[in-house]
Amino acid sequence: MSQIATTKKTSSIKRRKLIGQTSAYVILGVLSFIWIMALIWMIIQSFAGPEGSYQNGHLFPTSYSLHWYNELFTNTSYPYWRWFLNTLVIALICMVLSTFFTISMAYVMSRFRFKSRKRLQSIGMILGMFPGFMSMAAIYYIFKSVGMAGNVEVWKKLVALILVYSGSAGLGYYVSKGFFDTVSRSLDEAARIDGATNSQVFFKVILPLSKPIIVYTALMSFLSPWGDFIFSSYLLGTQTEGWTVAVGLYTLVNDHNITNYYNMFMAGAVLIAVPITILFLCLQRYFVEGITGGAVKG
Amino acid sequence: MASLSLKHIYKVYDGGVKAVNDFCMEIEDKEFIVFVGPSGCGKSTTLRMIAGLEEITAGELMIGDDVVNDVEPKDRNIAMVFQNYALYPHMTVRENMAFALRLRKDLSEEEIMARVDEAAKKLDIAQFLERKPRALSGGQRQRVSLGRAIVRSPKVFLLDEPLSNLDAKLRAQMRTEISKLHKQLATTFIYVTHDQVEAMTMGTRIVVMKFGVVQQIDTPKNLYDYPGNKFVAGFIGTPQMNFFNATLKRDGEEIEITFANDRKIRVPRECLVKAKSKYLDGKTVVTMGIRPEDIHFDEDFVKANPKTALDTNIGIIEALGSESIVYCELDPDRDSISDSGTRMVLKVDPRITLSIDQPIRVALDPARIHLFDHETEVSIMPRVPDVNILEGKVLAGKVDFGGVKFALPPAFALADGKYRFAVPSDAFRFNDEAEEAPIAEGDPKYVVPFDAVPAEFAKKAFVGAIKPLAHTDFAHDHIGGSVEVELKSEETIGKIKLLRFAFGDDPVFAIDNGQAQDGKKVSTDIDWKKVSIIGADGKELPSLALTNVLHGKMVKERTGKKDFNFGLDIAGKIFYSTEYVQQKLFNAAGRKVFDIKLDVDFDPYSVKFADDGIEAKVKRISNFGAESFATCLVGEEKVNVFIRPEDKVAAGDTVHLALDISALGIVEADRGIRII
Repeated sequence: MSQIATTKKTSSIKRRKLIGQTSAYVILGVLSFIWIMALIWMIIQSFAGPEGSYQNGHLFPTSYSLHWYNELFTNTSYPYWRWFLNTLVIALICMVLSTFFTISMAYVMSRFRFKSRKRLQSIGMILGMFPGFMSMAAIYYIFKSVGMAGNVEVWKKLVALILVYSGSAGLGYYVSKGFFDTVSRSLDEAARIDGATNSQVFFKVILPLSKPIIVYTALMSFLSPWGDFIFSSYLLGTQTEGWTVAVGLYTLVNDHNITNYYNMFMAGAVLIAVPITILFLCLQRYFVEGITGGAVKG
Repeated sequence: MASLSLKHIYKVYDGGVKAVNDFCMEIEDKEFIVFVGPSGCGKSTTLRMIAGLEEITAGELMIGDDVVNDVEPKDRNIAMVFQNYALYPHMTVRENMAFALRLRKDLSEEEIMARVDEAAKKLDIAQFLERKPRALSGGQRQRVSLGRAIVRSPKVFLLDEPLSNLDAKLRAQMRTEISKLHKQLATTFIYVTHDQVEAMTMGTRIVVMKFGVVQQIDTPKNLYDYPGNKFVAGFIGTPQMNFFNATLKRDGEEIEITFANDRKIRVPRECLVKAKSKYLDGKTVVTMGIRPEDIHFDEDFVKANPKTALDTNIGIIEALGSESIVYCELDPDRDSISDSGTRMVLKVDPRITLSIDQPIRVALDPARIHLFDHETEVSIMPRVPDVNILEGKVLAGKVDFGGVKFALPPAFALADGKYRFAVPSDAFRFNDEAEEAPIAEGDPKYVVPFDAVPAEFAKKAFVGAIKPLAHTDFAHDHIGGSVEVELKSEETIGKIKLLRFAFGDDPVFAIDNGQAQDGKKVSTDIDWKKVSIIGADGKELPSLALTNVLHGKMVKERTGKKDFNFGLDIAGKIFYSTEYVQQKLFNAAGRKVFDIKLDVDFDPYSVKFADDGIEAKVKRISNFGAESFATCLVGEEKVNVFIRPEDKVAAGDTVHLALDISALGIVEADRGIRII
């Protein structure tokens, strides 16, 4: 009697599990289709033939070629290649600078106890709540007055952008501080007794342990200048060779250009994803490794 | 290889919490000191202050001959081993051990590697040198962290609960290894633990702490045999000491101890001879302590000690294999499970078959009884008794202690009758120690001028110099004349030699200051200023206060754009302060130093009558024969001043007092921190 009851019970648990899993997979499948559809469609559009596919009455292009990719590197009025290089250089420099600022700030806030530390933290928090572009006008005029915005050489404007992006990076220290808080303080103390100065403790002991958080911070600080439109659009002005990808691509699809450059825009957008993907693939190991680099415990 | 000196060390947090309170200790070279106590007792904080990881609020820390309060950890020549090992996870064992040496930059790479290899061999970790810490077990990691400390050959080893993360077996093994290492390295070790077994087995001396206050500093054996208070008695030893509420009554040559349920035992007075007599009245409740192993169950012992025998029933038996722990209850109305103050725990030979509720007869070892004050929990029979209470008959200016007669100094104008005299054990002087030549004028000791004299800022310069006093100078004449006594015993306790003799029936304990030569008979007299007297009517004539306290604060005066004069305002008079005093005050109080109230203390020899100074009124002159003192009133405060031969003062005079600033003690009044 009991034997039968048990079997019945088991089979009902199995069935419920099967139903549950099936429905979960169905929902996930639908969601991922919705999410990836736009991406696939964009890639398909970028391979359209030279005649273009803007408002041709079809969902997909009627012919396929590499014309628009070729156009990205050859078009002189809209030098996509130049924009790409500009953005890459800016993003890489910002990545290095911002990561350094953020990590240093986080370490100081995590390890040192000094007067008005708490106050600085809350000021940082409040400042962080305001959207960055609030300061747009002010920043523009400040740079203009020191000759780094407006009608000046392109490289000066790019330097200005780097300053804007990395200058406020220190405020985003919270996540890294949370990481440093988990690294045992006795490591610092052991190093100090061993004779290390504050900077030696930081560079020789703490930084090597902080790869995951450095990678995270670096990726984040690469991404924000890479995709930023607001600051670059008003600091970079009208010289096309000084634009970044975001500004340039936006120009390609304004009312005036969209008919001609619609597919070039698609190709440009696909190429933007390339460096991010490469970066992510290279550094992914550390994400997988996760934040386990804390002190060796007993 | 260094000695350490901790003088009045405090750690006070911003909220006013005192994590470490007035820690004083001298640690000698090559000692193995263990700080032990429950969590939060301040032991780790003290260690971290020695390491330099924690700032010292007030006090002076010396390693070797250097004050290191403001020295960076790396320059203190110490090494520390942490509870969680604190190995650098990204470095191999070799790199971990070489890290400190590489930072020094004065050693060649070969030399560093040689040192690392040597240390690794010593600790048996040579085969792990190329591994990362995460590939090691807990015990191996702890060895590596010991190795990291060894390679630096530090003067002092600091170990912060190094074995707490290890399992019991490994802990026992590492314990012996650390002890071995201490012998090998012949360096000073300071070891923090909450485990009393570690403390007892490893330390040459143990510091027991509680709530930031040092309870007792002694060797493991002394700590076990002579606990200074109930906390230490209960903390050291498992199972812990039994405590009972009891009253004591002297009955001839025996003392009757009455406790729970009106049970009585009688112990020879000799066993409790150091117990303070005021507790022997049969009324005052005291806490009696006896260790489980000092309660005996075997028949021979019980027969030999019938007067300390007790009948009880067995409540619980815990068989531990090597011994059995038996819980009994002296009060039949209670069960022996709750810790009631009438519960008795004893250790029994496991081969004896016992059963629950079995009636048993046990006897206490009378020589191993401990007694504590019920309120203060301090031992009432300290190893070195601080005071002797003696019954004395006064007749015509002489006092008779059971046949031993002393003349009384003029300061004690006592009517004839019976009095009780409280004579401190350090108030006895032996064999005419005064025959030492008094320090003559011209002797360098005599001529060094006082550091500070009262001064008006910017108005007057110093007001003359004052000669200091060698305190023993004037203490050599005996008003009473010496009396010959027969020594009953001598006992050496640490650096103190305790003598015992008798005045009639009363035992007398005295601290020998090196003058009593070996022999049966010594001549002695009494330093009467330390004696207080209680009359038959209960009226007390207190001894002369040897610590004067006045209130003060720190003041400054601007003398230039960035130049200041700093002074101490003591009872309204400003004294220039020495740089040492300034530094100490600034270190302890920071910028608030001018707002805090200070209590300034000094002995009667560090104050002098002068032309200018703190105004005072002489209230009384006390003549102790060899020395005379004037009791003066500064406002409401009493100040005792030693009267020098050249001084002419009488009661009622208005006088001025100058202070020896270098001899002042200074306490921050509100937080109760001793700064100097």
